[in-house]
Amino acid sequence: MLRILKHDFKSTYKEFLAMFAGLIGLSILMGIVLLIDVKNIFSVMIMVTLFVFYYFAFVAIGIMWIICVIQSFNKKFFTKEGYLTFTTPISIDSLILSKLIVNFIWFLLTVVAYIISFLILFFAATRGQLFREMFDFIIQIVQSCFNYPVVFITSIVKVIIYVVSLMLTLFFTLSILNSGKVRKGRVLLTLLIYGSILSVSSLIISIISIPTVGLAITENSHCAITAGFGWTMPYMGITIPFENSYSMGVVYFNFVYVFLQIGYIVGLYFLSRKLVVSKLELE
Amino acid sequence: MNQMLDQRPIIEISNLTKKYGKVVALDNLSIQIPRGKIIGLLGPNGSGKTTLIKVLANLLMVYDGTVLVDGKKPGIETKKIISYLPDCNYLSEAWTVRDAIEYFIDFYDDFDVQKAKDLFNKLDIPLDKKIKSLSKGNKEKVHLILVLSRNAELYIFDEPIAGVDPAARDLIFRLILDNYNKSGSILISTHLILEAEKIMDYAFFINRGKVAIFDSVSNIKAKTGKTLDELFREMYRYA
Repeated sequence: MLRILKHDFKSTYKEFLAMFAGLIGLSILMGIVLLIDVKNIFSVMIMVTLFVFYYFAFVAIGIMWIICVIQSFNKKFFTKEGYLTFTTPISIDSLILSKLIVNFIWFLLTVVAYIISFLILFFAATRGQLFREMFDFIIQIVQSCFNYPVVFITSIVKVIIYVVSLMLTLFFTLSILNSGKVRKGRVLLTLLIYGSILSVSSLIISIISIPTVGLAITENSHCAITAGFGWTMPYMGITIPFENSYSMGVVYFNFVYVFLQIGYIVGLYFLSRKLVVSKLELE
Repeated sequence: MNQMLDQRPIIEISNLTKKYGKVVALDNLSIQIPRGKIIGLLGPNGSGKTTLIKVLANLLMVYDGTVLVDGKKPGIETKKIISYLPDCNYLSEAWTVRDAIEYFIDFYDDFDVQKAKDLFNKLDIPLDKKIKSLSKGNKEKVHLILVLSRNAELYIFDEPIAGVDPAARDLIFRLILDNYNKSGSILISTHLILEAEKIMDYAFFINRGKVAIFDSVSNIKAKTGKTLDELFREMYRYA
């Protein structure tokens, strides 16, 4: 498993490091412009241009992560490289898990790159004056993680579940396209189709999890198990109670919703695996 | 006991059937392929050669019948002893030759790194060059060297000389004969029988997913009075 992880990292790190370097480099450039007094139309134009670039870079990195997830499965599983992948003595489960782990780590590092970029901009925009306050704010967030461990842990669980379900939906979409012998434009088609699969499944899960059992924050900032009826917002997983269930409060961790999402992940994993095993169509 | 095991066929197939929808690619095929021999897998396009190879290499995992390689069903254990060369370039174009060597070192215990480096050196292929920047001929050599640098029990070559010039064909055959693990077996699929005939011990003619002929090359020649190439042209005239 470690060996395949190593090779999966090796085949993706260049793209990600280039993206991170681009984002942070752009932040530094913008920071320098922010530190210079804006006195003329020329410097305003530079700043606006850089902001537009920064906005696109910010969005592009998110999309690039999704494309990298698609490519990591597509190239190694469904193109000519599949001849090497599937004749290497490793189980299919290790191959899939390795890609999920590597892409999840890249997701975390992407978030870290976003945070660093924000900190640079914040430092420049406030000319370092509010840096102490910002540092205190970060400390407060870290402290609250320790003060409210249940909230902290359940929030992490929600993020993991969401990211894993996103990656598996991409893999599932690719597997369907491959078994349907779609060769041209497979990456683009996956990008266009996966959102629909994810939206429909999230909607179904939200409907089934209307009868809610979950964790809500009480008035004295503690969390308590509560039950009732409510609508869980897809992706965010926060349940807003229906009128007759107001007493249960806003549920931030709906056990029914999370349980169904885990079921979706497991189901999708085995469906995709079955498609690979029974309908592998290498180029 | 070990001697008995060594006399066991390297490939045992019984009643193998593989269908693609309504198309039957392999039709109730049964065969036992002896160990330590070079076997030519011969047949026209669509006869089932590549399907059979894919089943053996575990690239096709769903089929009817029994397939055993060295006594085991195709899977992780058989992949450890099969060195497979498909009819396409399967290495990542972004890799350097060194990256490809590292992959083989990491995953194949029988990979002889020194042998690989010596062969790359002999054929003047730089290790730090990217696969995508190599010529078509050199790409094929890289694949062949990696596959031959494994001390495998079974080598499977799917059309290794298709699309290369006659001089390169000779080089490929020389490389194969000089470098394969002599206690192992070779299953080589090809259309270019005239060239391949020289190195084969056995010939396995396949037609419409069934075994047409399987015998030693000398027996076939003695029985038919024809070369394999002549026999192939006669058998598959209307195929």
